[in-house]
Amino acid sequence: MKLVVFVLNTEELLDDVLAAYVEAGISGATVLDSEGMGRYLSYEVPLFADFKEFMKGNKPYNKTIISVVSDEDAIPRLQKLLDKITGGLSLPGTGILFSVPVDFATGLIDQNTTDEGEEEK
Amino acid sequence: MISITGLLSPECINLELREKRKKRVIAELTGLLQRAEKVENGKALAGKIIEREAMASTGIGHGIAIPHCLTNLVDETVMAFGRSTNGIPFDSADNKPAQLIFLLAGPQTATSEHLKLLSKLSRLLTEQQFRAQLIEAPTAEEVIELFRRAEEL
Repeated sequence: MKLVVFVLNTEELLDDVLAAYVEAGISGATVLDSEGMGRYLSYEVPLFADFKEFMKGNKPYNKTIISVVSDEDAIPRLQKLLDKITGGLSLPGTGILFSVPVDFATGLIDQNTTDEGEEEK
Repeated sequence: MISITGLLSPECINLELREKRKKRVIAELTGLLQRAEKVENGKALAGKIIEREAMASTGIGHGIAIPHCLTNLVDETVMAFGRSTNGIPFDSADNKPAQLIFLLAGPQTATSEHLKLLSKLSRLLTEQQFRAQLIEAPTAEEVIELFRRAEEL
């Protein structure tokens, strides 16, 4: 079981990204509004105000999608889809995807269970 | 990474600033840098720093100000330190006058290094005891020694 975290820099792609989660087999995730450290420092901390210039071209706000994934095979599927949507996560400024092991979780929806509570065939 | 200790030198430290106003204090400090031959045109550097101050004050509160800029007027990072017993009105976040003023200028391309120095300096100066020691330091050499010890930790 893994905690998958994806920081999406291009917020406009959120719909496509969430569709990719579903397509990859991840049916539950939490979407958080987030912002980059550079934006916060240069706009909220006066000492660093002159670094706004260096923020140009960077997306100030982003979305962070977190999801506990039981089926770890879904993660490479997700990565492939996210690469397509973002143009490639290896490109700077697109997003950051990572996972960490989870040793305990409760309250998860069984991803093999349909909305009606029946096991998928 | 450049250390603050390495940037400070006794000839660029003034423990009793003569000027009482922000812009003049900045010019006084850039004057120190010019006399120490660390910058060619102290007046031009003061102008750049004042321009930067107009964007947002670098008076970060607790009696500290760190006026700074990135500029082509310097080839390497330079620093001057000035102390004022009564404090200088610096449009600080807490409205308190600045007693400890660190002026920093880095080459236009040294963004990352400049950010690291600013962060380090502001972190060290959040320590109340360290600020008190700087206020009490009898000589420029003692100021440098205080930074040397703080940076070792």
